[in-house]
Parts: sequence; C-alpha cells; structure tokens
Amino acid sequence: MNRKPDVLTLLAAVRPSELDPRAGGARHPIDLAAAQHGPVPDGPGLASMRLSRRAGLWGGLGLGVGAAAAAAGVVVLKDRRGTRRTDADPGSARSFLLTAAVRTQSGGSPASGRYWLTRTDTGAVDHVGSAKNRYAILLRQHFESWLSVSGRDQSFDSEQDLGSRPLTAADEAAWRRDGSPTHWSDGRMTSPGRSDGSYSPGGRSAPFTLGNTQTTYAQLQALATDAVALRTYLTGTFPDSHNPASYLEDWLFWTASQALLSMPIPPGVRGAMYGMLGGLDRVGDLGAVTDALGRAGRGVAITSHDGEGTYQLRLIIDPGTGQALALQTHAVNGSGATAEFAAGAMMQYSAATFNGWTDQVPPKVDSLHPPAPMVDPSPSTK
Amino acid sequence: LSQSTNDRRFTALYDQYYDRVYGYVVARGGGPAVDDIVVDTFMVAWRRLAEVPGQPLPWLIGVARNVLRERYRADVRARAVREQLLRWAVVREHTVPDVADQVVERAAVLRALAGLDEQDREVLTLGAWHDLSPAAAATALGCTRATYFVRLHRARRRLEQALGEVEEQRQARPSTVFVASGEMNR
Repeated sequence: MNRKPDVLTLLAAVRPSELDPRAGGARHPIDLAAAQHGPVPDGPGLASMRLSRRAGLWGGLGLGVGAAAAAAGVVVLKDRRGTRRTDADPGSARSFLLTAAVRTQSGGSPASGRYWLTRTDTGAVDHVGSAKNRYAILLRQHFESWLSVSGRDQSFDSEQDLGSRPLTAADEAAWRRDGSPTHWSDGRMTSPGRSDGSYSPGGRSAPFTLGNTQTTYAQLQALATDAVALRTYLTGTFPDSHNPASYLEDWLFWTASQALLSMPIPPGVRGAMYGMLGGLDRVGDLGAVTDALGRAGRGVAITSHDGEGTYQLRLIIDPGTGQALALQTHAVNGSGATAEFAAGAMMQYSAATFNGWTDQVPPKVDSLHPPAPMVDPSPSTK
Repeated sequence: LSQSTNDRRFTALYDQYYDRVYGYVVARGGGPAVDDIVVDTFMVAWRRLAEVPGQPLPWLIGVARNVLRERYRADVRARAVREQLLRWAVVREHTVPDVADQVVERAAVLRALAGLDEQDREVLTLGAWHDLSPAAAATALGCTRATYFVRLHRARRRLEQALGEVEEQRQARPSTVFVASGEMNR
C-alpha cells in the first residue's frame, strides 16, 4: 500500500541492547535444593482453557478471565437464513447424555499401545477486507500429539498451518473483489505452511492438562466413575481466583469436553463425564447436528458470556459410539471482537480425528510432508 | 528419572534460555527485580521439570509472565514499561539501521511503542524483540495462533498510527527530540 518499511521490521531493528544481560554479568545461582520447597506460582496461562499443550483453540476466547454471569442455557438462535429456532433444550440434553454415558461404558477398553495419539483439526474464522467488502476467512490447522506415556520412546508434537480460505461462496466472491489476495497483513496465507514437528523426552510425569491440573496417566485412570463424585473433584480444582463462581458450569463443560476429546480416560470415567455434563443446569440439547468436518452427531451446548460477547460452546458427540467428535464455538450475540459474526455462525472449532493408542511411530522430523487436503468444513448455516 | 538426570536437564535449560527469559522480563517492566524474577521463573521450571515441554521457551515465558503478574500490579508495570521505553528513546547509542534509514528514527519507534497499551506492546515485541515464532508467542500468551495473529494485526495498526503521530510532532518541532521525565506530550 505505502512505501514505508514494515513497522514490525522497524521495531525489530530498534531492539534495545538493554534486553541482553550485561556481558560477563554474573547469573544468579539457583539453589536447587531450596527450590524444591516454597510456594509454587501458577504455571503459564496456557494451563487455563486449552485443549492440550499445543492444540488449544479456546484460550483465545478470553474464557475464564472476567467472565460475567452466563446467559440462560436455552437460547434462541437465528441462523443465517433468518429462521429462528430454539436450541438447547436442557431436559433432552440430560437424557441424551445419560444414553451416551451408558453407550460409552460398554464400548472401548483401557487399551494400551506405544503412544497415546491425538490428531486434531482446528479452524478459526476471522473477517478481513475493507469496510465495504468484508468477508470471512477460515484458518485451518492440524495438530498431532504422540505421547509416550511409558517413557520408552520420545514424545512427538507437530502442528501445521493448512492455510486460510474464504468461508462460504459469498465470502469467496468478496475475496475475488478484494483482488484474490493470497496473504493478509496479519500473517495468514492461503497456502499451507510446513508441518512443524519436534520430539521431547517421553514419560513426562503429568502430561495431561485436566482443567487446570497437570495430571498423570494413573490419575486419569483413577478418576471417579460416578458423575457426582467426578464433579466434586473437578470443582475442587476450579481456578476460582481467576473466575467468578458463575463461570463454574462453563468451566466444567469445557474441562469435560477436553478430556473426552483428547485424553485416555477409561470407559467408566468417560461415562461419568457425560453424566456430569447432563447434570449441569445450563447445558442444553441441540439435537442432530454435523460438526465442522461434516460428521453427523448430536450436540449439547452451554452459552457463555465474556467481555467479547455471548457465545455458545457446542460439544458434538457420535450418538452411536458415545465418542466426542468436536468442540465448537458459535456466536450468539457478538460484541467487541465477535461483533462481525451472525448469530449462530461458527467462530472456532476443534475436531478430533483420532484419539487413541497406537503402535505406529511418528514421522521423522526431516520427512514431514503436508498431509492430503482435509475434508472441507461445512458452512456454518446449519 | 534420576536426580542427576534432572539436574543435567535443568542446567541445560538454564544455560540455554537464561538470556531469553532475562530479555523478556526486562522488556516487560521487571525493573530492579529482574534478577529475582528470572530466578523465580527458573525455580518454577525446576519444580515442574516434568511438565516442561519439548520446546521450553514459550512455557518459560508464560511462567515469567505469571511471576511478573504476581509481583506487580498491572498498571504499575505498564507505567514502568512506558517510562523505560521513553528513557531508551533518548539514549542515542544505537544508530538507525539501513532499513529505517531516513524514514523514521529509533526514538520515534520507541516513543510510539510507549504510547500503546501494554497488551499491544507485548504482542508486538514477542516476535520483534524476543524472536518467538507465531506458534511460540501464542503459547506464551496462552492463546491460539489465530488469536495471536488477530491481536498482532490490530497492535501493528495501532503502532503504525502512533508512529504517524509521533512523526508529525517531530516534523512540527524538529529540534525537540527528547522528552523529559517520561512525558509523551509536551
């Protein structure tokens, strides 16, 4: 647009030398024995509201901090076609989740394998273009986590930017009017990035982030198989110093969804998770829905509110197997950063495409290739 | 893992990332307590060594953020960062690199940065000064990469705007380059 150098390049060029430790300056010695004791400050902010160590989508929603009282569980959504429908019926959510709880008790087993593997496809919608010609683009990313629980192998994580593209046909038309840009000033590009993978030592003692708590594999196996006891335990780990009490149900919903989507929890605990979800006052039933990857399922939802608007967290479950498929955020009543989303429009999704044990081995870092194109997420109009 | 393995792993972590954590803490207003805050950060890493991920830097930056937050009130720290940037703006030890040649002065960039809010400053400098990749910066901030890009995009626009304003002032008053005692406006 203009001929000025990029402002971030300028900024990098004026990096103050004060940011470097004084040359030859003594580093403070650390008394490792003393460090074993004393108060432990909170871990990084990533401990709150994240799907897993790297595949989190939800931290960015501002969930958790400053969330005001959430709206009622039953909301009237207006989809893009303008038809109004009442979503989220609490009564039927409860019975459906109890069914899912029973299903999941019978299916699956505490199998084992060399790695606990999660493959996750995520998407995030943003609006770009000029004021007169705004359009939505979807950024898709793929995450894999190969966790060696035993420590016999190295663990492996990878992520890949799958590129951004206009969300709907109308958005694509606006994108063409915009000159069909292949990249945007915020760094998004239409072309996929390289897969960025790395190995780390396996056998980390507490690799699972359950809510805000680093949890061991053994602890996951020992979680309560009774919904009430599970809720009591999880409530005890609610980070209430950062969150109003009114946010507890939203947090339990989020925590259970993450566990169901990405963690090796035994069938009994899985059932208790569904039972707990069914017991939340503000959780409602969405009925039959498809997830962002187009997979048929049944949705349950909770409506949350924070400084950036009101939105709905939707957990989509395969009713046949009781497997959780995806967690999605849909706009309800946007303000601030969410103002450009129509009611009901999908803002973000995180979809599990694999969640289980495997004896396969992760790719070598230097042989990573872009995976085959993903299934196109369906437009958010239904 | 044996104790000595842990010791070795921690020592390697400390040696490799001390400078990076130090730079982050200085830039975020660690002030005279910089050394304490860096030490506290690594102490957390030692106690939680099992949780330190394969790419430790974003995790360490995230811990340092929390240590800073516990030590200072946000508004106090934001003011300290702002005043520090304005002090750096008047230190003329750096020459303006070629890329910025005749376009804008170093002081103007730092002054424009000082005029932003602390959240924008952090988003802008994680990449530009601390050399974190978008994925690493997002992890350090506890947000998604998509959200990071959006925040960066907005912060960049505000920096451009602030830079334009600082430039206008400078051109209006070419001899008045320095600002005393942390005051942005005359």
